[in-house]
Amino acid sequence: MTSIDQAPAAATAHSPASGAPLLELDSVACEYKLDGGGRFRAVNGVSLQLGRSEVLGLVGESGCGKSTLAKLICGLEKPADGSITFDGHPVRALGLKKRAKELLGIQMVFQNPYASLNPRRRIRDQLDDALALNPDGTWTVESLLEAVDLPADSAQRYSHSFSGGQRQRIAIARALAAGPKVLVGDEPIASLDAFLQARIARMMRDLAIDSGASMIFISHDLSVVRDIADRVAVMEAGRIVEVGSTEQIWNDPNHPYTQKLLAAIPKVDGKGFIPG
Amino acid sequence: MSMISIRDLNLSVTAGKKTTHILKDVSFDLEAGRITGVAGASGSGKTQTGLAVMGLSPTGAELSGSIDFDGVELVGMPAKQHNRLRGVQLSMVFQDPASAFHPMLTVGDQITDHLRHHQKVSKKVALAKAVEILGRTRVPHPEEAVKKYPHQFSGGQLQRIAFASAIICDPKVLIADEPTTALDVTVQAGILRLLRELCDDLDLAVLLVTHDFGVLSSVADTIVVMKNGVVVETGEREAVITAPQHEYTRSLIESLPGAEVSP
Amino acid sequence: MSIGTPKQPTNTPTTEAVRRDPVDPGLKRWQIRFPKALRTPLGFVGAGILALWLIAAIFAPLLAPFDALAQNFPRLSAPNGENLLGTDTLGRDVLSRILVAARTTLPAAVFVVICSALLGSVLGAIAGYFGRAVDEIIMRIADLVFAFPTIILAMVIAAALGPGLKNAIIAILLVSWPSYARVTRSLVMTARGSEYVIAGRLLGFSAGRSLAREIAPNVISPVVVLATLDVGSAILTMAGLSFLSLGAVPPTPDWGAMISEGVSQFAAWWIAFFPGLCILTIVMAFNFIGDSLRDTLDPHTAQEVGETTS
Repeated sequence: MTSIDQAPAAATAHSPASGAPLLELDSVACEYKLDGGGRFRAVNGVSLQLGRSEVLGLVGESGCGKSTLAKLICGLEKPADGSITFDGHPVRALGLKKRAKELLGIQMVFQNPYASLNPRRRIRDQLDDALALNPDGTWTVESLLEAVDLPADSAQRYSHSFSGGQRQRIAIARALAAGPKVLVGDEPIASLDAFLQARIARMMRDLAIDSGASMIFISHDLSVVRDIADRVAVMEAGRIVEVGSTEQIWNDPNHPYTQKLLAAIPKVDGKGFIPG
Repeated sequence: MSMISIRDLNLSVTAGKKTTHILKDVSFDLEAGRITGVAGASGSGKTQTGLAVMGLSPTGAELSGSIDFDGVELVGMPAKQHNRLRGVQLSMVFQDPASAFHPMLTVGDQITDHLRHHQKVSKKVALAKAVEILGRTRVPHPEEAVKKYPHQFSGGQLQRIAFASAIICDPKVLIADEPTTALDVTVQAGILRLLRELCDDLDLAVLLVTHDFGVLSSVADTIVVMKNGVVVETGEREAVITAPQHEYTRSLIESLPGAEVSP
Repeated sequence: MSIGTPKQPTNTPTTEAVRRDPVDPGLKRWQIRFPKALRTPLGFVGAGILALWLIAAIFAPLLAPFDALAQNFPRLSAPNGENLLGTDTLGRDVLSRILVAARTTLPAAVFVVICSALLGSVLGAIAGYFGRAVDEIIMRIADLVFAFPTIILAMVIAAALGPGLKNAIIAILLVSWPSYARVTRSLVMTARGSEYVIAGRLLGFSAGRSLAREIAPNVISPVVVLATLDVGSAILTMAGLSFLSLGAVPPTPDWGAMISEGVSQFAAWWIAFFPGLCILTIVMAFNFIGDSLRDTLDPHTAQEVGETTS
């Protein structure tokens, strides 16, 4: 809860190697039943660690299971196998129950900014709900809005009067208000204009780290992830094929799939060269 | 001479008492065999420019100015006459290939529908043409593909089918509205290459609407930057990207990770 | 997504426009459309008719020229200067009886609709939110009710309970809640999966709070529309029950019972005609209002130009 107080301590424990990881996934799998009667392993034997005050980028193409992994971490899906541990507590599937107190430190920012805010409630009410979780925090509705660069009068308004990027910033503010230790962004920039993507991603990183939290940033866009992540995990067909520091993944990718992904990113150099 | 010449195009929509100006004095040209990329943020009017050329402006929209298509004026053209051009000489590809197709009809039926309507060819001839065109847009196994349904294809393949549908009537102008935005980055490259090839081989005048400067940098020949319904900058690809003249263009490009703008 | 008046909220190179366009593409309809809801021509007519009926019902004792129960006049006299709408088989003034009947019919119909809407939508919301066994139980009971024609089932229940306005209300309540349950269930099921509800649950909302705070405001307008349209059919069902002597007990004036009485008196057309006209106008009024509400609250029909993509 008092994540802000932990910020200095966490900053020293930057490397995931030192001390127990904040979030640990141990050979996690998730299956869906198919209409035909078979089963589809969306996530297959994924093991990952997230340290304190660390930003982990998770990249992969659509259908690789990265969104399912985000849901598993938040307890929105039930793992078929393996275990997820957050700060010493096992993450259990949420089901219809009220979420366990010790798991409230994991919060999520969703992909679709048009669906992630309640259209019939004022922004202030929605932020207040999250602030109530974190009574020791220093945030107020006003400071949250200021932190995400929105005018203070936004609190009185409804979500429909905001653009996609503004809505996404409100969603970020709401997730932050709860005082999370892990902020999970599931493609939070995918439905925004290219010109906004980097800005919102950087804002998420800065706010998460400044408040002493760690972040898992899921995206299909390696170039944005490169901008904000400390480490990158590359996912293909339900498996993590490569994990490494952002530098290493970007400059010296080992796995052929990572190399293919990197090669496909068009360069903004005006040379008229089609990648791939 | 330009294939399409847009001059002082204005578009406003009146809803109730309030009039919104969507396009203000937009002017630029589309040349045969060249890809003109229109960049801009949401609400900049880039999509509406494409729709105006297609004659698909929203109901209640007021269009003024001029869109000259090979000597024919499109602004104010009666709907019936526009219908005869649309799908034949003017064609369009949309952002989301998954929702661009009717789920219950075969691909072959859908991409030949307008061919049979406009050119009155038999179903057999149309299907043969469909197979040929699908081969041209590199859809794997075109003979089988025409008998399949949209859900049996991946997003990238569907977009290739959408391009096939767009070029089957030998159009002169192709408007591609964010054709790669819904696709994965590894699939995007293939679609961009296809777009480039079609443009070069068929001498198409292509209008590529996108918010992605990476895409423009790869395939566009000319870049038009729009902001709030106004064209702020027009120029050759490399010049616009490496040495943008307008402050807004510069801010857009600088906001991208990994962009290289000369100071 | 929308064409708005551009305004730079910050000095950073933002490309967003703060959207203050009056063309409301969003979902604040509950707040801003409700007053506007009756501004369609039909809605206006419906509201007008309803207002006249409300005045008539409230001031019935003052407006009614005679005692509704007194048998003071010649039997079966046609409309004339004294008895404007004629008299019935027992020599009672038809106009007076109609006005007095409105005092029971209108509140009873509204009451029964509110009760069944509440009961049905609460059950439907529970079924939609919790799913599984709860859903099965509630919805199978609803299906059971749906399996019978409304009026027949209402007749059976009313007959079992015995005649009387109270029992007629119970009967209608029991047959009309399933439609609310169905509508609410599907709306709640959609809302339950939406990201703002999930976000709330990640914040630790309980099921009840999720339903009441996050979901309810987003599903209420279709239920309101359905309820408005339903007042008309509740009046019809009540009249039907009274027609079959299963509703209000004589001599209490009631439109359905009056029609029933008039049916056996072909020559005295006015006995059945005027109460029938009352039912017609009031059912129409509620249907007009309901249609108007639906048009203005429904995101699909209320959509205007302005949500054009870019």
